[in-house]
Amino acid sequence: METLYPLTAAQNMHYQWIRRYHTQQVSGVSIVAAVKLDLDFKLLNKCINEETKRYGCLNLRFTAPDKDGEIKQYLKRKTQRNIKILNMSDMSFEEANEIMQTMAYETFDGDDIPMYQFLMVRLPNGFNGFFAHMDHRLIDSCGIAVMVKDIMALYAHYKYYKAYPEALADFEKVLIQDLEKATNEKRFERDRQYWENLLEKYGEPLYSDIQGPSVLEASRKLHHDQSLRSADIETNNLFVEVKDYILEKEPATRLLDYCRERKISFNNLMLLAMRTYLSKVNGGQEDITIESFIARRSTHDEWTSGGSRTIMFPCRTVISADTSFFDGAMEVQNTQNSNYLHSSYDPQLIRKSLKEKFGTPDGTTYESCYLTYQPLQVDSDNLDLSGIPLYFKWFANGAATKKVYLTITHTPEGGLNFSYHYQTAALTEKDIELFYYYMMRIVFMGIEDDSVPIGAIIARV
Amino acid sequence: MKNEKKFKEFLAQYCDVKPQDMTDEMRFCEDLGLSSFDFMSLLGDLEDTFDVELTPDNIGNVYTIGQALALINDERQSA
Repeated sequence: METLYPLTAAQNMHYQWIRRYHTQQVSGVSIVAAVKLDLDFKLLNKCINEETKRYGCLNLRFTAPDKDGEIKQYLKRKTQRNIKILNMSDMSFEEANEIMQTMAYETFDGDDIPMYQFLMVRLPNGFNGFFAHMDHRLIDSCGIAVMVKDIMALYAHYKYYKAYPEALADFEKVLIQDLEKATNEKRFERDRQYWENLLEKYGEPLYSDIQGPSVLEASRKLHHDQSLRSADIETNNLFVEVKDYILEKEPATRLLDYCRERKISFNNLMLLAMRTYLSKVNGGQEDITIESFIARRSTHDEWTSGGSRTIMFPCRTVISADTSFFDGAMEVQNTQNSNYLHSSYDPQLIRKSLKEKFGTPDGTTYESCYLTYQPLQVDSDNLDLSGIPLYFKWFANGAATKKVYLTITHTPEGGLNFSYHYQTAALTEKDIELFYYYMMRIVFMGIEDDSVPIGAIIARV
Repeated sequence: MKNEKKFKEFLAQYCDVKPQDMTDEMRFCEDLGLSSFDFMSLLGDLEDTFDVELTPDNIGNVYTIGQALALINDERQSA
């Protein structure tokens, strides 16, 4: 009998979305990783099977819900298997991506079943590799980057006699540590007090939407409450579109250099740009909350154990128009640093507390925008395959639980990719274009002279 | 210094510097390569490992290994 463990807070976040939206699709994550090389597929099959032994998180399964709807997790290793090859070499990349995108929409339905699937793929232009479709409760994007690197390293070892990759951390051991940490009473109480004090200090948050105050107004009408401060979440039409914008190397370098010189993290600079835009389109609103994702990976073991560690916390800042851009950035940074110190807490408890204190209606939220910055790249230079062209692509699961979800990654050319996932029920590409355009205007004006007040930047852009 | 060995072994989990190569002057971010999240996460774990209580006031001026060690020793003495 396998040992049963409760879900961690990060896993539970995904599970609660599955429960709320009645589909596992919201928890899907898919990638393709391929190299321009005539791969030995039999060997690649062996490496992927070996990875399922090395990377314990892939063996997670979930029990059927109990009478309260809660589930548990356990590890069960799958026996060796033959992985199918999907040949798309005679197609265009557009056609091949379309097929893989369709596969990314598929769901893992059922209890006590494996929650991942690998396919080996032949892609156009001589690229060969694998497609992986998984449940986010097994793995997050950092975990995927580590897995891809490890599979490639195994292949390089067997094929080219490169060094055997170092052992990855024991997933189960790290899981147990995480669960113990979460139940450490002293730490829990410190964290609880911190998040409660924030609510005491600032009171009820105020919703801000990239489409302006009309969204909150509509919710106020719907709930017959003119003082309502939260807005409704779209629950019926979850379909999501993805719009990517590339910031080229030179301007991207300017932003990163500014961060280095002023000792501001890039994530925090982007939070400031987002919140300033939200302030601009909401009549200068000073109290803005954005959901910021935290990877919760710091130690060597946390980096290489896989698992789903990414979790979101509200980054709430109250910044007046006369605050300088730099002071605004520091305000965001101080808030984030304090949040980091208390990020072992389960953010579900923050929402529960909000509901108890302020009577937040079911199905409403205080945040419209979510941010993830992924400094970890998947490129050929860090895959033991230096010089060999790599094709790596994320596929959206097609069902967003969030109105706008921005993921920022580095491009292999030294630029930055701003990937906006947005619910089409309310937003169009035009809304996203404006969002990106103004974010860039705000942030470049800010770094040009960071003594300029935020209000002046809003007026000028 | 009291707690030094234990602290350096603890710190080695977060960076690529071996405990024996760590010096008091080394800065967490610039020399050990810790991100702000790493640093705050380290402080959270440090509270549990060394049974000390950190506040924004007493961690505000901690940038180096030596300063962190001094803080741990002070906090443990006053506990």
